[in-house]
Amino acid sequence: MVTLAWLIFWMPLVAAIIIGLFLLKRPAAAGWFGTGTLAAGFVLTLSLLMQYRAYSAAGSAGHVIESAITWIPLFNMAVEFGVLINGLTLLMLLIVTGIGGLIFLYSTLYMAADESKARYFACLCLFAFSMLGIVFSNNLIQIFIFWELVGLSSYLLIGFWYEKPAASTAGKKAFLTTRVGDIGMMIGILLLTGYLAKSGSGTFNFLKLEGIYAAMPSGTAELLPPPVLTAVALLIFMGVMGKSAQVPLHVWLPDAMEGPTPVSALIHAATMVAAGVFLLVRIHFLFEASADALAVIAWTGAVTALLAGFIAIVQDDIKKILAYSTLSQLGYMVLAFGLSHADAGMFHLTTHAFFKALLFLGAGSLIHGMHTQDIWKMSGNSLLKKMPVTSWTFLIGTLALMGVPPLSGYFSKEAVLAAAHAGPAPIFFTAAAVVFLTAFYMGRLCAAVFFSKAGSGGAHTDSSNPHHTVHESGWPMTLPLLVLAVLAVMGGYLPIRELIRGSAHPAEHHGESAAFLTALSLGLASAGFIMALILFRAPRKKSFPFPGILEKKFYFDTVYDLMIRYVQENIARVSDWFERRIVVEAGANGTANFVRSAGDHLRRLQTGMVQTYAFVLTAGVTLILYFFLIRG
Amino acid sequence: MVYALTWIPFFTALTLLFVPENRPNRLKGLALLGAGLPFIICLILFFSFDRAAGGYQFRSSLPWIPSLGISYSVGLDGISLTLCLLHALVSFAGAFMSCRTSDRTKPYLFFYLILTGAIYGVFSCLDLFFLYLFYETTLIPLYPMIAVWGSRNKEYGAMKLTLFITAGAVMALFGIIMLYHTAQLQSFDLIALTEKLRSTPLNKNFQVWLAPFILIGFGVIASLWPVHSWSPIGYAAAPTSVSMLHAGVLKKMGPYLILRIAVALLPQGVQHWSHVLAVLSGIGILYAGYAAVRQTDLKFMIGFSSVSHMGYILLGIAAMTPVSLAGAVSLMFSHGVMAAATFAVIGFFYEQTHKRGVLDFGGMGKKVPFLATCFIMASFASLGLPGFSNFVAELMIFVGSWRSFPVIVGLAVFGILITALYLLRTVQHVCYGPLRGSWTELKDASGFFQKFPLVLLLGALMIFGFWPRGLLSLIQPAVASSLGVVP
Repeated sequence: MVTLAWLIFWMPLVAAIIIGLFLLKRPAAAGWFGTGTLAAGFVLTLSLLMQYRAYSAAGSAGHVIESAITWIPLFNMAVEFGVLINGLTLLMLLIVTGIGGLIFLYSTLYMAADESKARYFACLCLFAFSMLGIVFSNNLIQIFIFWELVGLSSYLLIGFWYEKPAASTAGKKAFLTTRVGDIGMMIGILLLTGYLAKSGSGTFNFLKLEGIYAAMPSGTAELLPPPVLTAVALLIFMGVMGKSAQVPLHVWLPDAMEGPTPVSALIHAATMVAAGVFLLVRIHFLFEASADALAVIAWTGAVTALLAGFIAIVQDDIKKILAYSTLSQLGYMVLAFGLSHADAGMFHLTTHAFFKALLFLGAGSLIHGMHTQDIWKMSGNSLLKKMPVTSWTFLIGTLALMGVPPLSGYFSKEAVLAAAHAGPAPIFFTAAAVVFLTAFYMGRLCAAVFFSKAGSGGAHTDSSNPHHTVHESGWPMTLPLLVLAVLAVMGGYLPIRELIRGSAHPAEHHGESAAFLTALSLGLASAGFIMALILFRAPRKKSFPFPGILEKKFYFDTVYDLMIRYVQENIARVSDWFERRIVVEAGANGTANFVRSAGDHLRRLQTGMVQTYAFVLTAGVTLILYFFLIRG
Repeated sequence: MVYALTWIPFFTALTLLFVPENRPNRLKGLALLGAGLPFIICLILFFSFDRAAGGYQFRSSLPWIPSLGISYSVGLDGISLTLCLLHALVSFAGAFMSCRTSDRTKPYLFFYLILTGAIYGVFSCLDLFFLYLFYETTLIPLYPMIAVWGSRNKEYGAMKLTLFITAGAVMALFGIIMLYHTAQLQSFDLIALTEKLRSTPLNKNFQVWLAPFILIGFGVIASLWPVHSWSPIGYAAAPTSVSMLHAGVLKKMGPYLILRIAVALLPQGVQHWSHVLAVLSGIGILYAGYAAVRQTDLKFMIGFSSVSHMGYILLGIAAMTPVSLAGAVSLMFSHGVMAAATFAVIGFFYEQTHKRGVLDFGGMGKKVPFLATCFIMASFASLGLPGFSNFVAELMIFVGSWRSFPVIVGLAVFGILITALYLLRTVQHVCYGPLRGSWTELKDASGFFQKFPLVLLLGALMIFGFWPRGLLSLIQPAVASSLGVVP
């Protein structure tokens, strides 16, 4: 079983190396090789799941399997490298290999014309490896390592078209922004283990840490004082904010849409951005030890969900709308976790992976078919007829995202809303408002792209975007859409929560409020959707007077740019100035000049004239005689 | 065998003098042999070192001036073997780069081999007298190599580098002589001194008074802030293989000798100054990092970057815990290999374009994919990406130093963000975007002789990035015994 896990873990890296070394000149082979690897990974994961179920049904010893080697010995501590298998691991594995495999398949066609297709698949395999590393990790350092590696693969894939300055800038921004969070995470890890090491129980291992935390209320409180617990939780949460793009570290995700669309689907919707939520659930005990930290987490999620929902309603780029929607939904997951409903967050993560991957791949198919990302330029093409598979699956994804029963999004969103309902009222109102916003921006998108009258909206783009090129994509692209559509519909009935249970605290049921919540969210969603349809169906309305603050995305990027320009650049400038003026000129050259001028002055004494020497000699002797004979 | 490390390059250098100038292939072959044989010896030593036994191995000794207790004794423990391996990798790769020198090849290769041999001498000697002798010997070839074969402002750079390091060496020499006298052992033997001073430590006040001489004296070559300013300009002026050796290996002699002499012989003295050392390292990390952000010349940027990285090494030494010291030694190795790789890539660019400005380049990823890939890999190694051994080393420094200096470690962790900032900026300018300038004629590294040095260096970083115990099983016992603790 452990062997199987290691096999699943290493396969994508081997594939990446093989593609990188041997298949760079054979892009088609690279594509199918990568896809095959992920498919094999999915099959192996299924067999791992079977074995795990048999194991956990038979043994009462617990539901966790761990296997690790010592990777870096640190005298009285050790950094391990291992695999940790429980329900949570398996769920994430299925998402990564399953949805990943579909997106690989989709990419074989989507990227077919790209000359660097092989490099694309090598990076994608590297990403799959790094993501599996996060999922399998059994300790904080290992998860940090793969945390950084997904950052790398994300950087490489966002900047995949590196000749485009916008793409390489976006890649850099993503890496640096998430690294801000990673620094917090690293300091949090150091703080935690530093405190534990004082009492000789320093460890990075999740299970051991859980044991320490579990024993905390009964007498070892002085081991980790409450402020330290809060600080550790918040610092590690910074890592989550970076990767899962929570306010205020969310600014990289919309820019990351510069990458190829399948990358946006895999990395920036379904898996990597969800890694933050996965980490929260993986080490939930660490956050649950501090009520303050949980409150901060819940509010961060709520604010992210709301702000991103607002920004999404003014975007014109289909991928940007979906990106802000992703932010907003990630906020939901974090919010649910902050209200101690980790399983609701994880459930929403899973269904979101289905329908958001579907939406992104659908968007990719639309872009592939029409060569534009602007929703207004897509309008008026009667897409429901010309691209039926893409259009209908996209609409299914939209309904799932809005949480319409009985689609998968309904179940998970209900779980999140139930969590919010049990929590503070302002958070519940925020969550409810986001339901409305979600329906509204998706309604606006659909109104523009699908329901707008033929010829009216698309007319002005005819020259650049002739209608006859609009066509349905080939099977490698439509098959993943269909599979994901099925998952988006049926996802709610899959035994997802069963898997999570045991890895996280299950939510209590709120039977009496369930009907109320369903009615509320359905009401809000349909209100938002219908309102958007009415407002935006007539294409003239596309310049709807939204407040300017939305266009400026709440000024986050503006403020950061100013901070970089005025704070950081000035620190750098001062360091540079100090180096040039003080250290080099005053310090080093000054000393040199002093020595040189001292030499110059001393040289004058050596005049070479006998008279001068005779005079100095006589004067000296006279002075000595004066001091010793006359004064003495 | 350990003597051979030093003397093969020396004898090859002498042999080189008898080869006529107009036989460049024979000259180059000899130079590769002179650097390659010690490389192979180092590999043999690396694999045959008895990790279970630890301590100093492969020892031998030749009496020299018995009345003063000077003997030419050599031997390697885990620390010096790691650094010999570093030097073997860098000097071998550097020999390939040296062979690309077209101007006055013979004297250049001669000096290069002398330098290579002398550095082996420093890392393998167990006698303070000879240690110092070899240390000074490294400076002799450096000056002409920079002043004659260098570029832009080369006389100033060469002079500054030599003066700074010599001044530091004089300070350290004073410290060593004081140590020799007060130990009253009538011996320069490092092992004997260590054992004597461990059983009967020197007076604490004396240690406190003496330690700065060693710390600053050798801190100069380790580019301790604020006596670092020779480093960026020196590297900028130096020819490629000198930059590689200097940033890669020579600089590591500073922390190595601090570890060997100050930490092992004057532990209380170092302890007393450890806060000062840690603060200076912290300043160095951030200050040089920010200075690197402002640089527009690639070599200056890497120069400041190396000052910043040396700060991590010195921080690890200041904390004086087994973990942080082991991290410091691994970072000496990792940073050395990484810096050499970076300078090699810049060398390829510079010799074809005679440009080094960050903004002079663009679109290299498309034009010269192999070199660009190597540059990107070296940059990611430098910014501490897992998978390269630099990450493991920095992690160990952070974990090991945290309890002594939490605030400075926090700032040092922040420093990796600054590193990422200037390196990603540079990578973007140099490798991405459309092809800039008139570099359509630029050639990628091709063939074994051009690709091998880079593959060797980056390969080593990745091997020990995935298999850190390969190095740590050497370093950790040696570090523990130099601190006098049982692992």
